[in-house]
Amino acid sequence: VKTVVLVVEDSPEVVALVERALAGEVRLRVARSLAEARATIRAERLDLILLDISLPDGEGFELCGELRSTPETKDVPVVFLTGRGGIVDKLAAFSLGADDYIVKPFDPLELLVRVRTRLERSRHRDRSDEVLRVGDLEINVASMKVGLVQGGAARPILLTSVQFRLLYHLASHERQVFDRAQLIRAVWNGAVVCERTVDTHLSNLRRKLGPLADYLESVRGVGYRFCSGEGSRKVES
Amino acid sequence: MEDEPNPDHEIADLLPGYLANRRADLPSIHKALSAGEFDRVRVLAHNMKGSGAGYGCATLSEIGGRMEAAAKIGDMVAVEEELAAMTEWLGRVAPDQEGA
Repeated sequence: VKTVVLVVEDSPEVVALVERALAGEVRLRVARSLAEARATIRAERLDLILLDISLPDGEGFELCGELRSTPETKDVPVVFLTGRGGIVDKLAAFSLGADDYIVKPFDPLELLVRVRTRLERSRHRDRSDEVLRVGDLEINVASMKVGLVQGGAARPILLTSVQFRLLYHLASHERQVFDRAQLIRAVWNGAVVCERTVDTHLSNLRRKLGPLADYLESVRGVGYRFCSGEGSRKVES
Repeated sequence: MEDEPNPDHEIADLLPGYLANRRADLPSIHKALSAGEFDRVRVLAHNMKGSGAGYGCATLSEIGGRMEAAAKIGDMVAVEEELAAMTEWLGRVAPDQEGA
């Protein structure tokens, strides 16, 4: 799924520059007014918003404030892209929760890099907030902690970083079978690792999971898969 | 010349259209100025300031910035000066670029 960026801008010539600058990187949505922007925001999940200040039906500040005070959009990165370069406007934008501020005319490369940076941070934050619940296991990505859920409480299971990555990779692809080479690529980032090492880590991981060891299934002649029997779900931490 | 349009090759194909639109702005600005519609002048100048350099026309951004500032305070003489500079610049560079 491609990243979706909304550009709120009434000048088609600036929109054309933005399109060229971000070509191939994102899917662009265009709103030429605050009203159009609000309609798009209601209708679609957005990964980032490029927001002009001077718009035909008001100022981008209004929209930024609305986005930040709405639970569904409070975390969407907002980058102001405006011809207004005064300090008062910049302070107003950041006080409303803007993530960045670019003054027009802009360098297309600078726009691309800033948008990329914001999107990467946003993705990282999304991942960091993630808690995966699979069966009786709770996996917290940010803290790299794993818990065995019993009676509503989670008893910690101490894992090494490799064991954590292995478990997370398998658990986040429940029921999908991975051969050892695939696991080496995913967990060891393709480093030169003996396939036997995977078996050793899996064996140790099973031992630490104790009563949940059966979640890690061997698939004869192929590799391994995670199967809790209940499916996984992601929750906010 | 130093102030000739110098667009990145990725947007060079957009330049003729951009220059044509700026030439079309000239009578609009004249008309707005004659009617005392400084806000209309300000918006056109603001857009030119924001877009010019992106199309490799740094001079147009500079003219747009000065024209916007003049329109904000209703300085007709200063707006006319910038309008003359814009007309002169477009007359000098646009034909070559459109032939490119």
